[in-house]
Amino acid sequence: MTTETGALRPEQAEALRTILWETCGEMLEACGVSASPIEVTPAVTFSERHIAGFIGFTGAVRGSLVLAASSGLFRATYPLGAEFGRQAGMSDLMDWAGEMANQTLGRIKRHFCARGVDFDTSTPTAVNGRHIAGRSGPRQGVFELAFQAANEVVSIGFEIMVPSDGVIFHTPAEPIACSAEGELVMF
Amino acid sequence: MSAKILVVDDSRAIRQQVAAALAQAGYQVVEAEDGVQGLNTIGLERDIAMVICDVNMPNMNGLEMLAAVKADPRNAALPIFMLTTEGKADLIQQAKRNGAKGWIVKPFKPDQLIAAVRKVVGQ
Repeated sequence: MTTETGALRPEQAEALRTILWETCGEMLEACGVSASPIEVTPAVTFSERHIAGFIGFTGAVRGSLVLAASSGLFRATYPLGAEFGRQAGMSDLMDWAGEMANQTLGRIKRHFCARGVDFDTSTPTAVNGRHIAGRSGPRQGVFELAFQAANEVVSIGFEIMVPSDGVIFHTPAEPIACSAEGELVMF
Repeated sequence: MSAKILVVDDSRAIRQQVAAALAQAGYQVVEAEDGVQGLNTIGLERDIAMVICDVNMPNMNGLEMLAAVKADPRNAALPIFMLTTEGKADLIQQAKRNGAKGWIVKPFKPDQLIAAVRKVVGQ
């Protein structure tokens, strides 16, 4: 269900793949839609999509995340509910696509921090179009995932620059303390 | 007159979500989309009772805005809550040292946010 190319060591790729499936699924569920992993096929990966949210990261590791789906997915998950989503214009939905990418990467970052790996995120952005597709051709450190959610296909691409030793998560690692999603700290 | 709260976030969807929760709880809301706009709004609207501020924003991020607000004696007492996807303990401690009142990791629960706002500014 996941495809990637590159020189990540197999156990590293497996650990990262597990993080990605968990976090992306959790993110969609947190947005109020049940999400089921589906096969990543050319028909999914390069299908017609309407909006893609992008966010980059840099630090101990570098890369990017792209979350793409039709506008229907972003309407269905709009924060004030489907009722409000129906009134949301394309710029609202693009803004929300960027925020979904942001929140997804935030979840991924917490898993990286638990394994001692930190990065800073860029501000998210989004594009809309009729035939948005990932770059073709094999590249290192690319993971592609797809989910069925709210009767839409959600495609998530995660790219990470692979270190020469093929290792992202070193052991032993000193976890970096992080608060969880939804946690409130008052001072 | 209900308390006026400034919401600073580069995501319109999040600003709307926070504003809707605050308005439903009876608060007035003003919005800004980055730290620069946030600082300008604080300078223009002298009756802001509290700020809810994202961290990762263009032009001026939330931690930079927090430091700038607290460095101005006229605004030093203004309560600021950070609302962000970021959850790293060292950033939370940095915000605390710089005078933030609290930190919430997105996605937030409206009830939880309103309870925190009530603790800070009252009903």
